[in-house]
Amino acid sequence: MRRAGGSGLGTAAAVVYAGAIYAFIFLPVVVLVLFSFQDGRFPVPPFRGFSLRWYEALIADRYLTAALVNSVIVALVSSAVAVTLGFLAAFGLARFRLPGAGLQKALIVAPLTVSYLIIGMGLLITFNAIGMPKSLFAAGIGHVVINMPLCFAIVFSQMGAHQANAERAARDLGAREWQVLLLITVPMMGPALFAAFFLSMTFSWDEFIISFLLTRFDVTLPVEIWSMLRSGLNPKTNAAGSLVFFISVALLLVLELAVFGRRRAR
Amino acid sequence: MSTAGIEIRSVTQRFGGFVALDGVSLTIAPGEFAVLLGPSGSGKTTLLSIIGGFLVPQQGDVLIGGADMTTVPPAKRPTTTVFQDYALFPHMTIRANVGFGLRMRGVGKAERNEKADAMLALVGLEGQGGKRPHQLSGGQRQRVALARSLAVDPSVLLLDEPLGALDMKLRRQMQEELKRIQREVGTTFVHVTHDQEEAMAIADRIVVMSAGKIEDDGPPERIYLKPRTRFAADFMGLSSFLPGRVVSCDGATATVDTAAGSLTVTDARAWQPDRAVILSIRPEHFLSEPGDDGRQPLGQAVVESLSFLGTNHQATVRHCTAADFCPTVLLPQTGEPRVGETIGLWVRPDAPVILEE
Repeated sequence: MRRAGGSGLGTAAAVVYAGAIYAFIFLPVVVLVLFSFQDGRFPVPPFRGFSLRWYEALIADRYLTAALVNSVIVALVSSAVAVTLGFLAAFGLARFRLPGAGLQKALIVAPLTVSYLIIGMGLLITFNAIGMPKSLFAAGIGHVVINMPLCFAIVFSQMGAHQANAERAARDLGAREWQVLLLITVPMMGPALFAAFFLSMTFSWDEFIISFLLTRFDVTLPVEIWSMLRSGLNPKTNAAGSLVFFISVALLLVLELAVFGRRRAR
Repeated sequence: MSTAGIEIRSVTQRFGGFVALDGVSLTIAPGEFAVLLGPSGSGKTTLLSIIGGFLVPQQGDVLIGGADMTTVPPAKRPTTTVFQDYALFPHMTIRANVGFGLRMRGVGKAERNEKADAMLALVGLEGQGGKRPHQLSGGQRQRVALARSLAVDPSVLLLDEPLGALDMKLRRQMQEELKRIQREVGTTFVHVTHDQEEAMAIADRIVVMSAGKIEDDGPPERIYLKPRTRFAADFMGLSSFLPGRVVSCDGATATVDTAAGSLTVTDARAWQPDRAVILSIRPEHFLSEPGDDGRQPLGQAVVESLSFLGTNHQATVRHCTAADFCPTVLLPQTGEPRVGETIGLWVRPDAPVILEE
């Protein structure tokens, strides 16, 4: 219920408060993006005019474009693996009576509460011990570790009696277990799988610590940006940061439109 | 179309301490429309799950078409099930839903689409094959579920309270449809319901179940007119019960002494004299005036409540001499009965059923 009016002072305070919150959240991003278009050598005020030269420099940077491609590959592959593993775990725990199901669920979700730093260090030590070199592959494993629990949680929460009944009907009509999984469960879980995949993508895309600890020669984009920052600020790093930001936003928009938009249309 | 009989041999199923089925044996003939009728918890759905292969019984055997199916999974049985919530595949078209079973059997696309369209025509959904389940009404989804189950040409079709979610009018209509479709395809139908009117309307044969046991088993007319147990008499329509003692029997009739008077009942069983029994009498079998068809007087009763049903007045009356006996009786449409009025009761000898205590 909205009470009409209220005191003018209260309303003004609320507006200021809300404005301050949004400024606090978005000002850094706005500054970052704005000065990536700076027509000058320093990403600091005053704004000297609009230019795309730093984006040109970005595209011309072989290391940076290579890192970008690496990031995309790691995000795609690790998300696909995380969704697949999370889905299978959710299916197993939702459909079959397993020993210690509650404990197993807790164990699968537990990594969500562990910091990325701890996970990264743990993997680094483990890979060292078994003689596995630092690589994109190792970083990809790290991203599967952090994203699989999330995928499991999303998919498991969406597995209801509705799909279970359809699965039973499919078995009754002669479907084998893999056919039930591929023809009934996966399509019916489509929106949840899609959401889990894109959320994993966004997390993998701008993940820094694990990639930093587990890669050496081929690095992901956040790691490359970090090494650019060490040589000092310039609008090119702003442009790189903006690029990461734009792609994250694009991923979230795809997620929003494809998953939530479709649900609304039903 | 194919068909097969079912044989259930002393099947027992427990869930924890609860006995869902207690040594149930049952034979269903090929092509029969059998209805498993009972209240919730009677074991009817458990029995259906065991026939369908969704549950392996702890004891006993299940034979379908003469072959032992006790441990065979649902996919390998000649049975299909129409589920209570239809369980249609929401991401597939209606045609793909109906053709799914054939697809699992490796039938080519053109052939299974043709068969799916024929099945949709059978259930009255011509031209709807391109739609998706959420575009159809509840009654139409029900028909799709039926078509999907029949498309694989099962020997036995199992129906788990399929009409439960439909409104009354649609339900009556679907009952007639089910009956027609069953006659057309000739498949054995086993239908589970708790609605006795539905059971009477569609069944060739009704199996009345209670507490994991079969109470009565036979054609609807027989179960309604001559129920074997008090439970069956009570569950299948309204019945009033009058306790009494057998005075004599001669192989054709038995005379029973009750608090409302002595009645001679057509009954060929040899009853022990002085045996305590219960007479079950249907509301429409109480007559309110004397006649020359052998009807016997059963004293007088006071009308306690009335409701007009259209074809009759249904009255609850209290007997004047047997005050515990408050039967439900049907009075003629035009009689204008009133509450508080005293009426006479008569019963023909072939109307009451003698039930064991």
